[in-house]
Amino acid sequence: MFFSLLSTMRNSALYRIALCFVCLMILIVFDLLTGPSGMTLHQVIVTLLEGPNGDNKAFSTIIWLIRLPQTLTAIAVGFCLGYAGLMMQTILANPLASPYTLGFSAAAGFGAALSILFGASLPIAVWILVPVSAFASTLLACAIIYVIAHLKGSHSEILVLAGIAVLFFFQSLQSLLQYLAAPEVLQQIVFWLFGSLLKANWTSVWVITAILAVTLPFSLKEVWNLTTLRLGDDNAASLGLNVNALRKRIFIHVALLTAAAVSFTGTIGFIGLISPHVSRAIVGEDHRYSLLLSGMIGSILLVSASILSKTISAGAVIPVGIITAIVGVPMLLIVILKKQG
Amino acid sequence: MLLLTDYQVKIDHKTRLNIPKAELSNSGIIGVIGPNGSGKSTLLKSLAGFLNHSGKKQLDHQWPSSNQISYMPQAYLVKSKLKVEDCVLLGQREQLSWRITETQRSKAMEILNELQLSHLAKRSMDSLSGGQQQMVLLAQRLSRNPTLLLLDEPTSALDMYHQLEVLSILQSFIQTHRTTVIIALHELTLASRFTDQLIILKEGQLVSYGNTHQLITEALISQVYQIDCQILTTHEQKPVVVPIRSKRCV
Repeated sequence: MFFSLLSTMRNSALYRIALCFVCLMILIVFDLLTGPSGMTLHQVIVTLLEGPNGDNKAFSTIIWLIRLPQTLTAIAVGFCLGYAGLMMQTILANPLASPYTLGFSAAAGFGAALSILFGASLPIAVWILVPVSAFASTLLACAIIYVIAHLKGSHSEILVLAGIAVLFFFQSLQSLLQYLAAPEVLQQIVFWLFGSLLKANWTSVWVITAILAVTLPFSLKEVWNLTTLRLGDDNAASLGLNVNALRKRIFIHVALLTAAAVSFTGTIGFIGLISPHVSRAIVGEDHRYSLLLSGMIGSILLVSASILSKTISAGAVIPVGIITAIVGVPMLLIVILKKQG
Repeated sequence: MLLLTDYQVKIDHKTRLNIPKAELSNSGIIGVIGPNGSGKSTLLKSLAGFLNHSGKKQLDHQWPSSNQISYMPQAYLVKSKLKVEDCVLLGQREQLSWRITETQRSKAMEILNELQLSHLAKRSMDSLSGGQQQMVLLAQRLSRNPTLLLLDEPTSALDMYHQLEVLSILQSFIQTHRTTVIIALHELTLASRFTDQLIILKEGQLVSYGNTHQLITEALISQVYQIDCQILTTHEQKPVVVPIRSKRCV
């Protein structure tokens, strides 16, 4: 047992994934340490160990009600976006694809805007209504594309075209709502669209984790099918893979994960696009490794962005959606430069 | 015995392939020849189960199930960075789980050795030439131990050495495994050298079928391909088709 474990450890892909995991853990600690209250590492650890009802009320509130849910949400949302991003790039055979390519983020934005605009008249708390509405409209977008794919066959061109149509449709609806909204409401909508971890709470942590827990076992069963798809549709089909059915299954996973990620934090761009590239550069195209690693890279990116968003200007937290590209671009540049060299 | 009766393939309500009857023994390599657009690919695709057909297809007593058929479409570039050994491993797709067993790996390496491709094992697919990719994909299909192997111009991107190499590997493969090989070819000299029987198509219609040495005649080839040609004979009494001019030029 021990020796077999040792021999697996030598497998370089696993070794690299382990390194990334350590990197993520360190970043998580940094993220928990970062904030305006100036808590020390010792205080953070003590507060974490004491649980939510620790002796120091101020510290336990900061850690257990603000920082920890935010950090965990960053990990979960980053993971969803990175993981869904790689699946999307594989099923569309397109390195430019991301979880947002098929218009899911525009749909979520529309759902959120709709509920912010009209939600006040409903007897439901805004913090529940907005994510639920965003989630529902993402699934609506997914349903539209699914029906089109079902009728016309789910070739990547058809999916992308349908996705672009859905994207523009929901974007215009969203613009229409913004146009109709009063200035204060408009500000709320725009703030939601930025994508921010400030909306995170324990509910978001549990819901996103639950969705991950439900979808992950199913999508992880498809790792070899996804790897096979990398040989192109014809080759994959002649190896006995039902390419269209696979695309539809994966596409539903992507929709669920994206809806989960976007509904609670707003649109956080770039992570779903770049994580797959970084992951493939590290472990190659074997989806047994690259899929989970792409999720992990997503977490690393979003937690890094979260740390940066808290440190850039003292006292104010810049929405993390604005930061992600700033963190991601250097990584993307490294991947591009490495490719040419 | 490969038997096709009233075999028709329609695409968008147009008949693209019509074979009233063809009966071939399934020992040796069966070649499919014909000019561009004659329906060679359509025949292979429909035999592989990727196009609907009407009529009957029979191989011995029953048609093999889809996982016993290996089909290799016409060459196009694989853009994946997947390693060659992993690509061949995908031939055993259905058996793979999270951990790749030693047997699975050695099976893949064995077939790479057989095709003299082991030096490429660690290379990525997209770094190979079109011909090398074709050979790797062939290795992948052979690793599935198919009952029926359908190859659509597997030698189109290969140089002369590798054309001869691939076809003789196929010949020895069917001797050791009980595999029926149907192969679409453009190169008539190769077809006449390596196939035992031929199906000749033109404009979606069956022209003729039967033993290769009986079918490779000046009259038939010049009629099917609209060319003037001459058929020479090598030292080993194998025919060589020499195209002279297209009939339009006359």
